[in-house]
Amino acid sequence: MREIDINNMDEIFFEYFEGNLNEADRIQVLDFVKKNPEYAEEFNSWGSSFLNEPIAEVPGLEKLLIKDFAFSSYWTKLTLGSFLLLSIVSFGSKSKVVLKTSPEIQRIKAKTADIPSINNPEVKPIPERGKKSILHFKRTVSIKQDNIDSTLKIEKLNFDQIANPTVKDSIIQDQNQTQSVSPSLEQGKEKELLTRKEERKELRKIERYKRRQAEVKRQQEFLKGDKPYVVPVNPNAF
Amino acid sequence: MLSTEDYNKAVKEYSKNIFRFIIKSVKDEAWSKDIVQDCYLKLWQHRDNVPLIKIKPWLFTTAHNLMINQIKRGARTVSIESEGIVEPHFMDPDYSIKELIDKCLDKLPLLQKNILLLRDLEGYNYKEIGQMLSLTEEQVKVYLFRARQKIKNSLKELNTIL
Repeated sequence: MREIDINNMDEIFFEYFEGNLNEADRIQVLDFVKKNPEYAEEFNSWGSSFLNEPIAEVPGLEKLLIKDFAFSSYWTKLTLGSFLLLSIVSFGSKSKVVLKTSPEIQRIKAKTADIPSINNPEVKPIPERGKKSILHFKRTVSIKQDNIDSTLKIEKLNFDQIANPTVKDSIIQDQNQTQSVSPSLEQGKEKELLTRKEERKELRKIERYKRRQAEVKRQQEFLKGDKPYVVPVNPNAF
Repeated sequence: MLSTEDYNKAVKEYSKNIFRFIIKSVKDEAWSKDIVQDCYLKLWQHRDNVPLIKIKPWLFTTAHNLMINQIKRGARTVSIESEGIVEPHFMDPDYSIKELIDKCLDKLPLLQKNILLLRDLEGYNYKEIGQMLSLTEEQVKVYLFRARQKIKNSLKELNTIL
């Protein structure tokens, strides 16, 4: 370090307090101040030019700046936690059911496996295809009262198994009776249709006759000359 | 990239330092809070580009730039010196050395003041300060010397008055 004098004194004091000098230079500076007490005040004022202030608490500053993602993360944590809890609870309940099933219950379950309404009371028994409900059957009975007995009889009997000829005859008679009922109805309907057709034909004939009569009357009036003669456009048509 | 946790950590660790740095310059609490808020807003906006290690210097640089911009706009404060008004030296005899230094600090230009604050209060070296304020090490040293000299002289004056 160069020699300390009044011209470079400030720079060296600055360097001293900045901590840029080595130990030997520092001692040299202190010796200079000791030897020249008139510069001691200058030296001390350089030393007091340093700022020293502790960090003060600023109310509301952090709250103003901080990103409040803690709330959202709290909700995410809560949802995840609840999901996990629910899954654990559901898994636990399933495992409990498995544990409860004793061999006796299993046997009962196996027995009642074919009955869906017993295993699950909410499920209604589904009727098999082809089988009809009682209501449907009653309705059909009420509609076809005449035919139902005969059809039932036909379905029940097997002709090959009947050996007695008298019984066979009686069955055949019954069948004829049942069959005879239905043609009579059909014939009646046909007759009705025929009569209606005949009536329509007669009506048409009457109408035709009336039209002819009206035409003849019109021609006679024309020949008498009551009406003015109009020369037709096409003479051949006349 | 800066996460929310890193950001909140930066708020907890550096917000007070930034506030102290700003309030020493602008002398207005509400204004200082606004600048601090702007600093952290910019930090969040540039979170992809700010390295985790350099958050603190980045905040100080931003604060310094914001202060310069605000002063250039001349929105809030008017320098007493620039107006040519001589500050009355009716000092309270109970004034501590800290308060005296604060008074002296007010007389410094913003750049010198900020260099002094960064050096003394935050403990940055010349190189770091130079990087923050876009200055060379030599420039920082020169500005710092001038700042200290002014404070020293002001303190001497005040001591003689008192």
